[in-house]
Amino acid sequence: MWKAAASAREGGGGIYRAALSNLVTPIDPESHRRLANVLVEVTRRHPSRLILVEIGRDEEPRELRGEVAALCHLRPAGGYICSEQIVLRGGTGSGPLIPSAVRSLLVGNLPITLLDLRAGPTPEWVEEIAERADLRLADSGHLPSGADRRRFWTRIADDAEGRVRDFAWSCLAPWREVVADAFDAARLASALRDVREVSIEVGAEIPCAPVPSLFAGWIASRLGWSSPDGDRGETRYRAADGPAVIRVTRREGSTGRNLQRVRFRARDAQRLDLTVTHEPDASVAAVEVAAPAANRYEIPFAERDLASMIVAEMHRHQPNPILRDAARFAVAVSLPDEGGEGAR
Amino acid sequence: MPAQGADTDSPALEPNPLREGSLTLQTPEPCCIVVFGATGDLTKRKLIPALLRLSAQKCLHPRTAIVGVSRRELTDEAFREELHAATLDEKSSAAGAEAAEWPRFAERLRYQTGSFEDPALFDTLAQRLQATERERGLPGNRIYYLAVPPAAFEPILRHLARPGFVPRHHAEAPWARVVIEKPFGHDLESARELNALVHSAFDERQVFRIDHYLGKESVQNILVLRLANGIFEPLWNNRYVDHVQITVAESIGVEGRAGYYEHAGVSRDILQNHLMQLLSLTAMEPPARFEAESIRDEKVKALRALAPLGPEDVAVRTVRAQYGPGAIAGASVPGYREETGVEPKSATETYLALRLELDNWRWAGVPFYLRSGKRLPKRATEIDLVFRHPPYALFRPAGITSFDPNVLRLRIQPDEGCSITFGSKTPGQALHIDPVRMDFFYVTSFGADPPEAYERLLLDVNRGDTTLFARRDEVELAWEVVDSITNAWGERGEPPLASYPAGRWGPREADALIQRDGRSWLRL
Repeated sequence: MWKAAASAREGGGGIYRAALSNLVTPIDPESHRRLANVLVEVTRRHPSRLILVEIGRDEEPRELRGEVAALCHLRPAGGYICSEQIVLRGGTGSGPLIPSAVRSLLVGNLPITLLDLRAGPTPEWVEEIAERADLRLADSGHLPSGADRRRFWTRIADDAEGRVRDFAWSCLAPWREVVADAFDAARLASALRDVREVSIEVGAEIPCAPVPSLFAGWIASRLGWSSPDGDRGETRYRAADGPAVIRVTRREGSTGRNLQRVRFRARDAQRLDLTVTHEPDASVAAVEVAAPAANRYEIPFAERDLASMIVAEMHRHQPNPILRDAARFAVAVSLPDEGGEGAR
Repeated sequence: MPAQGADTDSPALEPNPLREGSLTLQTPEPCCIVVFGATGDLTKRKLIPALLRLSAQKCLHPRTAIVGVSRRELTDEAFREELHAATLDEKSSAAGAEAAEWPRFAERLRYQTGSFEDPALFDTLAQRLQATERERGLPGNRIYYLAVPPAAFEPILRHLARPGFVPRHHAEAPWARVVIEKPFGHDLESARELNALVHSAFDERQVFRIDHYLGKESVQNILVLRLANGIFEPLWNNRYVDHVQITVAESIGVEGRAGYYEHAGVSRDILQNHLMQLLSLTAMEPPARFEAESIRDEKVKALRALAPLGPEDVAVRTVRAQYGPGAIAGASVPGYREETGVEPKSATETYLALRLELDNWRWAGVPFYLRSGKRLPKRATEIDLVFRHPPYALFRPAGITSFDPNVLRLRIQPDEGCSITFGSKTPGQALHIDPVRMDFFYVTSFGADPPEAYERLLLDVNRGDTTLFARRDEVELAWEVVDSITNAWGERGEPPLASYPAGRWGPREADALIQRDGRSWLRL
């Protein structure tokens, strides 16, 4: 394949074969359509042997077929940087064959990332591959039920090595940054210890869904609250000197899960009342401070593309205690018209 | 006066529990970036493209304004058009995101005409800045960027010392910072004078002396390679390293900078800054903490450890040379003295090679060979650690009496990355050992060229992070080395100025310098 690629290419420069990791990705037609270009971009930014596994399109139940191709990217200084893309396809009964096939195709002594951004339940063969993966990246925003999300977050909370990550956490990054910035920019970080009420408004669902429960879990854990107890969109906590609450409500005229507004209030409303609003697709978030002194300003809202978020997670090699804390708290967060997240 | 916007009541940021574990850095505070020398080459080629990319990446606050100051009569609109043409139209590599960002970026741009010597300019500028800050809701934070020839530093800094431009304490809000481009003086005395002048208006922590080499990923990677990997730092000493070679090679000539270069030469243009920075980063001890002052303290200690060069040392440990006519990449080029603006009998050195030693525990007995020149065969900046041979020649009975040493090569530019050369058995029945190379390229491993140095450096200025900027004592210590060499050249005339044809790797005298020690320059 490499000799053929070398002789077929046009222009000057050599072919550099590169791999920094194995990237194993279960796909279905919907996720393949959504992720095809994203994965090509991921291999450009982080050269990887990409192993795509697609099950359920073949009538033959217990047979796997594979194709191999070179994914090549033009090198700015000339030539190409290439890595392999292997596609495994099989019928619905071929799941048990997949882990052994994948194991035989991995580049040795390189990390294994399992990227599973499909919607729907997780089959057994994915779990088997996950056991050997150095990083498992899935999206709680795409899990079919609250119970699935709760199980996934519990797994993250219990994972001391940081091998399991939630892509919804990556999607939350601009929100986390902008909220932290809002307090730094206003020099109000010291007032955070007085916050007793947080209101989160959610709106239309988007592909990269920053799950409000995880966001609420992050805020509660960072503010040092404990003993969450949730019902119908309201989760109550114990703060250092009394009760605290996080409310998640639907923003009027919107549906779905993505975040649009968050408001922080102290027990004494004159001490702190700060609201951050981000309208979909806006390049800035608006910060409105009602107390201690009225003020209004904007902060850049740096949304990132899917490929860069995936690559950022592949580059992170340390456990993420902040995510673990957030996941531990997210399990108990209640969404509107529901009990806890787990009741969905 | 702080305008409406982010509050500025308290000088320091409180610990923010929401900031813990943040993958990205804090969004820079809104400010006004005042660029003196706004119509110059540096502004068009480096500063504005870097600021545009930062804006496209949302690394500039949306309200941040850029006010260009220069002598030429221009309106705001003409200034924007000129920068648009220079940044996007002539820059084929401008990505779509940057082109799309331009309309929003252009709104940040303002222009003020005036002579830097004219006090009236600074009266007008003060009003203009206040008006811009009111208009864009800026809190009064300012970055003064001196993208001007050194002769203009003095009037600008003198006027900036007037009330209203700079708060007297670095932590005061709104803050002000000044960015100074090299050269930081032309000798130790002038550097001290410049530093005194800078400090008449700014605290040292407000001063950002740019050596753009420090913004390069490959330079920052020197510390990471050494200190984040278990296999390198144990070898980074005189027990394993035989010698170190640092090369900054340029294929270009003076390119219209003859007026400056005639007085500077390679010793002031490259040795005082780029070479000394690379040397100190290579030779420094691990810092106690990964923060600006700890790192800069260790770099300064490395420079202090340099063995002093007396006139006798300079005569035998340095080589200076000037290029004559020759050919670069198959094209004929004139000699230095035939370049426009160069004196026909110029004695300015365009090439320098020298041998330095560090008097400290780690590097005692390990020579550092430095070389730099213009019109060399290609552009290349590299640091080579050449390792000692194994203590026992196991393969001598098989007829192998010598083989190449292991070399760790750090490629600063181009092809940023590093490589390790080691010996390997050649396949076959007989025992032959050939050198082979393992390579790491940023572009192949991370899929993209590293960001431009100026992007990182401008962002650091906006954040107030001085790690990648030269401190006053660093600059002055580097000048001490350069002065000891240039003064000896001037007083004793030794070594004499040698010559080399353009397109060759320097004069024969440079080869002799290293061959006297039984070593040779590595091929680049």
